[in-house]
Amino acid sequence: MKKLLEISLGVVTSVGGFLEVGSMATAAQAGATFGFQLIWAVVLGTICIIFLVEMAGRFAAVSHHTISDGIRERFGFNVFLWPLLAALLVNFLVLSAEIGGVAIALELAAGIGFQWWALPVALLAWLLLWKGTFGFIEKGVSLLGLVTLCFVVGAVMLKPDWTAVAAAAVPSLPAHDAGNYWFMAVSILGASISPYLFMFYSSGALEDKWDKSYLGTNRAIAGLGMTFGGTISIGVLIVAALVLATHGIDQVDDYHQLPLMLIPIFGFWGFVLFVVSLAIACFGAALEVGLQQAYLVAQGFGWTWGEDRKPRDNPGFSAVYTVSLFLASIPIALGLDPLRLTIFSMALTAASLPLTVVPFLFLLNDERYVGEHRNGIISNAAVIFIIALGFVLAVVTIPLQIFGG
Amino acid sequence: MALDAWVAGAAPFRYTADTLQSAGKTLADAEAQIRSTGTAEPAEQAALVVAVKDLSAAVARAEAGLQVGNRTELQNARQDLQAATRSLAAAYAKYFAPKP
Repeated sequence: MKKLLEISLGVVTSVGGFLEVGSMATAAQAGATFGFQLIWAVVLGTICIIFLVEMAGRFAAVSHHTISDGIRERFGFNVFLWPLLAALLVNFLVLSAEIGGVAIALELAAGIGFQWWALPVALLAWLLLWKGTFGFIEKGVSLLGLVTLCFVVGAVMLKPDWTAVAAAAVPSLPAHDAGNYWFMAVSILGASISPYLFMFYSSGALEDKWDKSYLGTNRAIAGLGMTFGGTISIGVLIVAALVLATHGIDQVDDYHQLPLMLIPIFGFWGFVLFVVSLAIACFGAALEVGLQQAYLVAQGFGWTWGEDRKPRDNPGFSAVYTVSLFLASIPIALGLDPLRLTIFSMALTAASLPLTVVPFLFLLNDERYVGEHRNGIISNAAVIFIIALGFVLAVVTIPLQIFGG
Repeated sequence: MALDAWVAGAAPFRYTADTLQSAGKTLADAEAQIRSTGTAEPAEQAALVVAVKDLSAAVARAEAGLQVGNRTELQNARQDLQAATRSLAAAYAKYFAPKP
């Protein structure tokens, strides 16, 4: 019974924490410009993240190491430095975009320019990390994030052609604007397969003191939680396709266009739901990415770490999330368009994937870490596929940024 | 769409005003960009500039109507916006149509 409760809570947490500014913006843009056609990218990204999250959780539960810990220990610090730097840079951009997402929500609600909200948002996030516990960060904000289910409700209320939705789960070639189509596909994959998601998950497993008895729980949370999370992204895409595109908005290049998605469905409450969804989803993600920066550096340098410890007991860990949040708020405070930053950072996330995913192939097959729980044929095939996909994305991202972005 | 939402009471005033202002700025940037682009079809380019200008003017009228809360003016501005959007779509299609 206790395990079932933990699985339910874990699934709910994954669902509530899945949507953030990247998945919301990329799905909305894809839906407005290409209708249902890019649903396959969300489906593919979700399948990939299910495998990676399951492996990250299994690795942590069996070896009592996080993924970053494992990379440093197994390959040495010199090799670890490259994924560390790539992850820190990509996380920095994602954190900035998430702070921008909350700032936009506050601008929409209060009418005061988003630049003015960047530092207060960073300060509030810092305060919660400083004073809060891991359980509070993980479950509290994610439970509130369930408000994002309004996109799924909205999609169902719009009565889409479900046959067309299902057909779009199979990749197809674009009828127009090929550069933009592939750029959007790459951005959706970057938003779905975020390294911070699986790295945070492995740190969380240790924070929650998982052991081998949690392997079933881990599998259920990874499978169900991420599937339901992906469903919300598809909900956003369907709503954008049926509302924005049918009202002549086929390019989402201004964040003011985004709340219009829910207004025709829910009226004024649609505006409120959008603002609340954006604020909570992005704030939750900002907390997680800020924390992930601290996990990465602390685990990389062998410092003491843990959100449940007092800041004075792990000063390095606390200093990293403090500095990360402050620095990430600066581009938004200076007026950098959060929507553009989001799309750019999602594409860059996709490009950085090989550096963070290649180690999975070694770590999850190393008996010293995972013993009898090492990868089977299916998991290894999935990792090899994701690595290959990551290399393709890394090669095509820059040209697509220039020609399609 | 934002204006329709405001008229229906489904969007707050500040958001609608900001959206119109942002749309006006985007159109001004687009006009400047079209003007600065060299073209082999000056007539089509001029028609496109006129269409963008008309749309900018309609957005400005909608913004003004919104500020004073004049429903009649807003209604007219909405019709102007729809007409200007159609003209822009036509001018855009002509400008980018494949040439023989």
